[in-house]
Amino acid sequence: MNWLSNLSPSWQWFHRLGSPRWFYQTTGRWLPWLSLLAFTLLSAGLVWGLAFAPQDAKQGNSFRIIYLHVPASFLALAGYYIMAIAGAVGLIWKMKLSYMLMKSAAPIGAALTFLALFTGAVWGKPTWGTYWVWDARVTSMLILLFLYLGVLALQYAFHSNDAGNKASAILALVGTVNIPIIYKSVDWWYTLHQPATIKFTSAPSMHPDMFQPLLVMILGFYCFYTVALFLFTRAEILCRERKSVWVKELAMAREQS
Amino acid sequence: MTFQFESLQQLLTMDGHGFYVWTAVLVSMAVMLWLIVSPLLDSRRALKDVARDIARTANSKEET
Repeated sequence: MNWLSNLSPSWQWFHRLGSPRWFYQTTGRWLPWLSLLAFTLLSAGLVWGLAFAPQDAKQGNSFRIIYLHVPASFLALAGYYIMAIAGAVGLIWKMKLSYMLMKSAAPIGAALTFLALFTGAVWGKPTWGTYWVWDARVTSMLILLFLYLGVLALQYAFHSNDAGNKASAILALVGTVNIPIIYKSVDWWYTLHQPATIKFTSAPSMHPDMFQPLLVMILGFYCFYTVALFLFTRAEILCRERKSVWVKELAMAREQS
Repeated sequence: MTFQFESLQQLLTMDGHGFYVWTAVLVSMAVMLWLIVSPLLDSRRALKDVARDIARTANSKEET
């Protein structure tokens, strides 16, 4: 990798980004602020959405589940991109840190996909009259959950870290096919699921009084996701780098304090 | 922006939808808490293991 830093100064950030130690130290400085921001946004958005936003004319109060369901689904999908891109970077540039990010994104993505499905189920009961339907949107989200679990399982299925990383990355990349299917499922197939509330191409189909707390929740979930991804990656770094001097020094310093 | 319910009781029941809304809230909180606590515990255990290994090798060197 030395030739990279000699090439031009603009490559240096890339080189440093590949260093687990640099990642550990930098995220350590960011985490307190990011956690505070995530906590503030999530508590404000939740109180706003649950108690102060007006209720839906058709769905009544059950619609308030949207303030958890939509952000969780957003991050379940965005997290898949992050995992697949991290896997691709790992395959192409053989970057250790990138594989660690990929591995860390899997349990978080699985948990958020589970939340999207679970909040969808308890929203479906009062709205559709059933907890579960095998329709296109719900089924493709279930496949997303299995993809996350598959990436996680492959990590532990090989004796060598390297083989596990490569297998996980390839599954993550192949699984990307599922993402546009999830997005488009409400348009392509007849479904119980309502069409997207928020689109990039047009104004939201929601009253601003309902939409503003949703936006706060989505921002809060993005911050929360970043915090969780940092924490999982840091744990992974400590585990994989346990033989290195800086981790040993860190462990001794922690022990003495 | 006004408080949508007349009492705390109403906020809990939400005209019959309370069970669904609050189940979603509680389960989400539990899962999100796990996503924070679990890696923190893993990190702490990793550092403790490293410190223990260092202490152990230091002891065995003193004995020989």
